[in-house]
Amino acid sequence: MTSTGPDLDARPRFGRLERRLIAGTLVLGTLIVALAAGAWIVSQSAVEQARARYEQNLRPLLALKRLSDFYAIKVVGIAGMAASRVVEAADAARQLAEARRDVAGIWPAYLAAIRDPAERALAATFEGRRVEADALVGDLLDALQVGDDAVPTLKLFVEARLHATIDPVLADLDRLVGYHIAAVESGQARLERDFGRQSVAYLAALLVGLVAAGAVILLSHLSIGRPLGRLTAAMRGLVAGDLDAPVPGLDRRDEIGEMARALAVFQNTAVELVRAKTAAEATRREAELSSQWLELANQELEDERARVEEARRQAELSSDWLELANQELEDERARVEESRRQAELSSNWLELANEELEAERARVEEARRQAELSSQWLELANEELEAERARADAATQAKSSFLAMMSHEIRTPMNGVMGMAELLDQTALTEEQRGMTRIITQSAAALLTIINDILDFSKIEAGKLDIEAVPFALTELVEGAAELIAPRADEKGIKLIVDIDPDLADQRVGDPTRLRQILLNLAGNAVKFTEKGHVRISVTSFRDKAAPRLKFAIADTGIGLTPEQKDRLFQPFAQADSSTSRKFGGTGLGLSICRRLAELMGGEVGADSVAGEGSTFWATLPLPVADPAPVEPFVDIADLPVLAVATDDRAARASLANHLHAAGIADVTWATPGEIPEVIDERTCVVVLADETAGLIAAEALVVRGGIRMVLIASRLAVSSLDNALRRGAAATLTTPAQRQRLWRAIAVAAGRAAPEARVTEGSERFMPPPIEEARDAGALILIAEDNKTNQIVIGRILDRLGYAHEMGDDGAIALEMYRRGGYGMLLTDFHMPNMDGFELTAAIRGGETEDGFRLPIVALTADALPGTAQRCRDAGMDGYLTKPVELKALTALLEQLLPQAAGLRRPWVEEPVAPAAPAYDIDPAVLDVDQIAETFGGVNADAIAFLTGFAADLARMVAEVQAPCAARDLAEARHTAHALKGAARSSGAGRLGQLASDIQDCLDAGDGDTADLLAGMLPETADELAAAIGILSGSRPS
Amino acid sequence: MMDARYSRHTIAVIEDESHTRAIIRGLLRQLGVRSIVEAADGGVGLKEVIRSRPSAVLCDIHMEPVDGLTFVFNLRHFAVPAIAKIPVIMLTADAQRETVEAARDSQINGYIVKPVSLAMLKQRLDKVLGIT
Repeated sequence: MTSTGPDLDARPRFGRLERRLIAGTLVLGTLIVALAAGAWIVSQSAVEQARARYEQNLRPLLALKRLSDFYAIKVVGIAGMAASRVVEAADAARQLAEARRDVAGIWPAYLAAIRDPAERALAATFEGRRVEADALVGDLLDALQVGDDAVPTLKLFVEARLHATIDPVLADLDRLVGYHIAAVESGQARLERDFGRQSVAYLAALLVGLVAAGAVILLSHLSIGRPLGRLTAAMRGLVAGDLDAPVPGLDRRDEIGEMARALAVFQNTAVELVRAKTAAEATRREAELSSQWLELANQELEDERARVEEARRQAELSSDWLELANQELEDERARVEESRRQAELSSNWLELANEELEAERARVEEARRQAELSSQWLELANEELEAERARADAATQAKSSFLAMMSHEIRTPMNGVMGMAELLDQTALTEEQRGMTRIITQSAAALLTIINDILDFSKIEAGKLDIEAVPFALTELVEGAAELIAPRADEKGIKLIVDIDPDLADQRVGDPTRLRQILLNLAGNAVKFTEKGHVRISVTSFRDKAAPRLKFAIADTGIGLTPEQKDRLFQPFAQADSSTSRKFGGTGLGLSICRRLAELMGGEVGADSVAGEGSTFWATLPLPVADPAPVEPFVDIADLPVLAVATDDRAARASLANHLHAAGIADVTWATPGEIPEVIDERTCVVVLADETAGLIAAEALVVRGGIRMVLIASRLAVSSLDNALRRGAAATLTTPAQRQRLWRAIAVAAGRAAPEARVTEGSERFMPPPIEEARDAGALILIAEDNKTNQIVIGRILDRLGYAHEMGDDGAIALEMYRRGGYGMLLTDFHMPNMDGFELTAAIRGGETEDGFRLPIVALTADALPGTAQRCRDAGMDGYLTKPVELKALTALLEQLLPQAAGLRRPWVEEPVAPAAPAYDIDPAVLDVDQIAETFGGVNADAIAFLTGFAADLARMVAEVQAPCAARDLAEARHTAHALKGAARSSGAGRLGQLASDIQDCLDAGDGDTADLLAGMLPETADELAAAIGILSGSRPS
Repeated sequence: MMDARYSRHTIAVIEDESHTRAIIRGLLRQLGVRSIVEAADGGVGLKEVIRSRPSAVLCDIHMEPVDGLTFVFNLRHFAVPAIAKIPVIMLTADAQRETVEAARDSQINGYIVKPVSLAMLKQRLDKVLGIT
């Protein structure tokens, strides 16, 4: 921006316009002054004239008047009055003297003032008479002064002389007066003329002044106002945005011109600014657009990356399976190759045989020899085939051993992981560590499930899966499977209902393991894919063309399946779609395994579904009745009237009804929780199915009523959080889904016909083993034969926890030697060990036993889970077997059964002195941070307790020192004490108290005394809370 | 499912129905929460929340004498900003959804439909406490 105008920083000087203005103003001023002077002069002359008039005419007139009055009124009057005795002569004399004195000086003064000679002449004529009059007055005065005696003289005087003398005087005076009046009147006319002339002059001056003013205004408007106006218009135009309008007056040489040039400069600047702004705007918009494009491109890139990732994962999965499949394919191919070669060979042989036979027909002896040759060849072929079969058998055998070995090889380390995780969980851990062990256990369990699926699938594909046919209890199996699913259902808030047709015979023949596997898989899926509602497991009879079957249906209210998804359901490797596999996890093998298992068992599986509403997965299986006798309650309860309280859920009611019907109970009344009758017969057992809060409230009301025989069924969550009154008020409490036998027992207990079960709290019974020698003496020492170090530790710790003494042998041979040294009550042995395996060991031991002698109980611990293992163990002479990972319950049962003498030796568990790092007090960490205390003092020791107790004792004072100034709104003092309390609380681990004090301090800093006072009111409660926590800590410290 | 990530948080439960409160307490303990503050109406609840500064509040809508919406309003207008911003999750029976939508103006941070399940409670708390 260049400066094109004049130098605006120059010294100020008078501009042209300004000079003109000054000149004009001066001219106008001069004019006005002149006019004013003229007017003044004129008026002065008028004043002169008026004075002259007065001097010349009016004053003399007055004087003459006075004189005239003197003579006419005073003299005549007084004389007359005195003559008629109206006044006394003396008075009259006095008055006359006075009046004479008053007028004494008038005539001389008048005379002196005369200017006009005519008037002088006139006055001179008057002189003589005046003197006479004067003398007369003198005589009169004398006469009066004589007194009353003069009155008659006076009368004469008056009649004779007064009037004759006075009247001419008066006439003269009148003539003088007349002279003056005439002068005044002529002077008046002249005056009016003069004044008239003056007015005209004034008017003229006014007009001149107006015209001059008008001229000045016009001039200034023309030279200043108009160009200024034009410039203003131009500026306004510029402000409004008209940047191209020309600026007027650019070449004037005056101030206006300067302003115009300055405006032109400004205009240029504005134009450039606008140009720059438009350019910037355009650039900004471009940038925005490109960033938007960039975002879009990024998003597309992200999607692409996700797709690539997914494809990669899929490819990985399929490549793994592809490998396995390839291997199988290889085997298949080898077999096909072999058979092809065989076919070739045989066809060759056939050809040859034919040729030989033809030759034989020609020559009989040759034919027989050829026949012999052929048979020899056939023998060879047979031998070859034999070898082939042997090889195929060997291959099959190898496969079986491979599977068994794989099963063993995989399960053993899994056992180690899970066993160790469980044992780790039993030790003293911090919260964080405990969470970690839980995750390890869960992950290991999940991994084990997947491994089992894979192994099962492989076995099925290899045709190596055998189905057992053994008797089992149907209800127990189904309820047991439901029990395993129940926790997961409970977590998700889904109801789990088990509904077994009561008319079905309970004892069946089949493969309980595989049946349980199918149920767990289907029910587990149902729970997995359902977010709300229920999962119902029902068992009914199913009439088929061929033989009667059982139908197991798992109905859920989950996400359902579309027809396309249903088609792919039971195929291996494919879940309904890849998004569900991402969301829900799983290998996708479960359902296909279920289908194979069902087929192997002679049944089928299938699914019905409506997408979005739910699905029903079913399996129909032939399970012949083993024993038609129905299961009955241990204690007869059929005669009891029952009031069943449940919500309107038909499925739940049906399940409960079936349980009651199966017990033979006929008298059943139903009610919803809100409709419980006022009167309940004292024999009636009330079964409350409380799957919602309404049920719990109804149960509570029944307890309050008293005298009610009540059985409460609720979710495990509700049961675990029941308050004590309700827990004690119910005769028995069951968790959903209620199991049949348990419900029967509970009703029996409620009716007083059975004793309540001793409450077994799982996992809390813990023992310590007795000393080795004591166990040996009692014949209760256990010998363990196990080569794997991890497994040794696991089983050893388990036995320790159960309270059984034991000794370890590293393989079969060592164990045998130890056994031979004697003193063992039982043997736990692994299958596979170096030097001597479990079977050999058992055989050796059994070989050394006599018929009537001591028979050592032998239990196998094996990772193999193949069917037929049980039989194998029995055949080998063992008394039982357990699969790894070892189930505590199964082991405990076996130990109690086979080693009863050890039960009495179990020592009660003594808690080890816990490391000071993390004692688990039930103290709210927000109130008192025990870890911080432990860290500060090196443990919750005597010093820590002493400190805290001292702090607790000081609390009341510190709190009062904050509350009082807060109430009194003494902000400074309150802030001081609140700050102190904050510091003390925080360093003592009293988080909540410290936070409250900090809040109070912040309010005080902000000047909010009211809120600070409100918060301070909460201090005592918080301090009490802290004192209680400190009390717990000091009371429960281990000594 | 005891989890160290929850053990550092204090959770407040404001619910007048004692069974529901007991169940929620049980669920929170299962998750690993060690510090739980309880109240049976909105007035006592507000006092306890101010006093104990929980990381989150679970609050029922219908309570006497002070209900859940009044509690949220009073909390959000409290003078200490750190307390006014404490996240609140409303507990509601199904039919009360309209009330909950209206309560969004009072800035609640989520709601759970009763009955409360472990999975739903964990999901909502994880979101509000910022646990991944």
